[in-house]
Amino acid sequence: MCSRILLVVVLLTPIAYFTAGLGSIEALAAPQSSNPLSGDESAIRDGKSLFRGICAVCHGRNADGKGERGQGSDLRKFKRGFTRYLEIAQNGRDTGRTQKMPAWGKVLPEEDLIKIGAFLETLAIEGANWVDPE
Amino acid sequence: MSALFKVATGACLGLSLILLPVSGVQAAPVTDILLEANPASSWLHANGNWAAYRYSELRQINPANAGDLGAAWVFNSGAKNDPQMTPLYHDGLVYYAQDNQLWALDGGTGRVVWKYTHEIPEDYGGYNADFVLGKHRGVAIMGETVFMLSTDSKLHGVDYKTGEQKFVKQYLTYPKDFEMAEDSNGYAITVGPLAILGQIIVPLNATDFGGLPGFVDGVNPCTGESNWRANMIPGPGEPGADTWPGNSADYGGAGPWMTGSWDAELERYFTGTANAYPWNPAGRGGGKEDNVGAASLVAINTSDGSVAWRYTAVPGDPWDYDTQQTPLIIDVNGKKTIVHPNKTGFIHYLDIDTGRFLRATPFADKITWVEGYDRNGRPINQIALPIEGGDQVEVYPALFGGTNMYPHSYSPLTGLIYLAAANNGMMYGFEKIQVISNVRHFGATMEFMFGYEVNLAMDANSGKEVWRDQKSLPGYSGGMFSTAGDIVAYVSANGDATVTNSSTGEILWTFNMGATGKAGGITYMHDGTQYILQSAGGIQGFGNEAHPHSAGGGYLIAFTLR
Ligand code: HEC
Repeated sequence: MCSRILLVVVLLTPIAYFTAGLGSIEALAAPQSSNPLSGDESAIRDGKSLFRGICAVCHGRNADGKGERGQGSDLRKFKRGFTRYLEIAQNGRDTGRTQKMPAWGKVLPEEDLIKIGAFLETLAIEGANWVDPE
Repeated sequence: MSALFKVATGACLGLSLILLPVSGVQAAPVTDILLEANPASSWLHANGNWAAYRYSELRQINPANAGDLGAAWVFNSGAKNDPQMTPLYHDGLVYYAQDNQLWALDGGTGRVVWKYTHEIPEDYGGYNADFVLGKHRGVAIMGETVFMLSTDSKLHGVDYKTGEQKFVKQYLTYPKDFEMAEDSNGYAITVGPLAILGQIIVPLNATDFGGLPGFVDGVNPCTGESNWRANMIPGPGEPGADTWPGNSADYGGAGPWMTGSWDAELERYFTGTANAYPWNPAGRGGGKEDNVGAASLVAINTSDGSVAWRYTAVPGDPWDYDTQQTPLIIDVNGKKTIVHPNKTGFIHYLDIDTGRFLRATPFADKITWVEGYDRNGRPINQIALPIEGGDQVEVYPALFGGTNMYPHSYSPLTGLIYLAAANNGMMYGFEKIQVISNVRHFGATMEFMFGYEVNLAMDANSGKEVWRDQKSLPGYSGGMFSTAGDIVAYVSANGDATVTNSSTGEILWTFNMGATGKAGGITYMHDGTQYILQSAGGIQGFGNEAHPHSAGGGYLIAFTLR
């Protein structure tokens, strides 16, 4: 219970209001994050290219889950925090359907997945969370 | 030459060269004469006949009584992936494949008579090969053997009455799980084999799993051994080989992933081929080289596997415009012609002997990628390609095509081609091609503008539309068959099974199957009753969730007159 209240407080830090004050709507949408490369412009650029080249086929170019190969999650709403993101991206996930989330851990460097995470954060919509639970 | 294959194989098939007496009750091996006929009481090829008409001679169900159709039985395959399978029927049994299993069902009750199961090896995988795992579009039957291709590139010969395995033959490597393999490229098969005289045609596709080049094999029905292998992409010295710069042909795709048609007179197999790979053409000429053999039609001499001709419908294919759809062999204005509706939004007409382009008539409601085709069969004024890493461009049709893998039918009764069409567009862009476990990724991204499903009747001679059944929501029809009783039947993304008057398009009957329809149906005669078999189940497709019924399911539903 305690940690949930803490989380709300973290998300409503004055930084968000401050950047919004500068007139940037994108900055308001960008959540706080436990990703070490969060907000790093060059990481976000690399992450975007990697995401579009590798993940978009299932998750859609805009990470909305509408990929040509279908049935990937809407990653704009990813809410399990950065560390869980990295675990799922590395180890994959069984869905019970034929189509699974592949395990990328052995074929993509961790840094690439962190960069993809940094890019995904910038697409976050309501309900998303990239902060690790306490 | 095919006579040679026949003599060699006749004994193993349970066929003597003397005609067998045909009687309704006794076991009846599938003879050459039966293979050559149009579907009537039996349905022996996924595409109906060698010319791929999906047209039956049966007339018990017709416009006067189709309104009295009702469900007779339901079979649940428990499908884990899209059911796209066109069943076969012969001598009392329905043959049906899903998820690398093959069933024989009693044609009158749908009860399982036998089941054959193939275990996919544990290292099958790769980053998107699960997309096709367990999809089957057809099986073949010859003599006393049913032939199933499994996703891992193997042909299974199975006894038609007992389900006992006769042989298994693997052709090429299958896609490997990239956690276990340095090289995850491989062939993943969804297409059905085709029984021709003395041989089984085995199409081999790897296009969207890394792009290994596509082939067609002609194989021995007793052992599965290859008699010959034809390459879709021209080999060194063949015309068009120089349209693949560097080593791009090694990963150029062009797999034949739908069953083609066969002409017994010419002894020639005609097949469409997949897109050129990767989708981003940067490494294969940037769209400026033709990449002959991909997004093409290929004619193969089945006596020796030599390629008679190739016609490239989408030169340098930058749009993922497979033209794998089944070519029809139709008498157009008195001359046997290849007629080919495909993703481009056009029906292509080609000379059957030479592959010479005759004309291309549009059937899609919106086509923006080109203005049309010139006299030599080349696209006129193709739009500018997107720049890698830059903005997307708007393209109609979307990459799932004016028509795609949902099969069409041709009725000699009406002279009409029945098309499972859709009108969708896409925003389409190129990205850097990533390479993982030696697998080249698509290098392209897309967002879809979903349009409507439309079931079209087109005059085969003129290429003009005669009638349409247009749905309000996105989807494809599951595919068509037509009959001498003047009906055409299809299923829709909204879950409807529909029977219309094939001449007028009047809707005679609909039935809510409760799940998206994705497969071509068949009709057969069992104990004096005509059955219609339709399939329901599968995802609506490509992120489209327009229909309120849930995704999944795998049902085969039989209908008869009540
Ligand atoms: C072959 C298709 C495919 C590809 C390619 C793919 N994914 Fe996935 N992904 C899935 C599927 C399927 C799921 C699970 C959906 C479900 O659980 O219902 C999933 C789930 C996820 C999840 C968990 C979402 C959540 O809300 O818990 C994350 C994170 C993810 N993918 C990241 C990635 C990243 C990063 C890449 C590229 C490196 C990628 N995926 C590439 C198919 C894919």
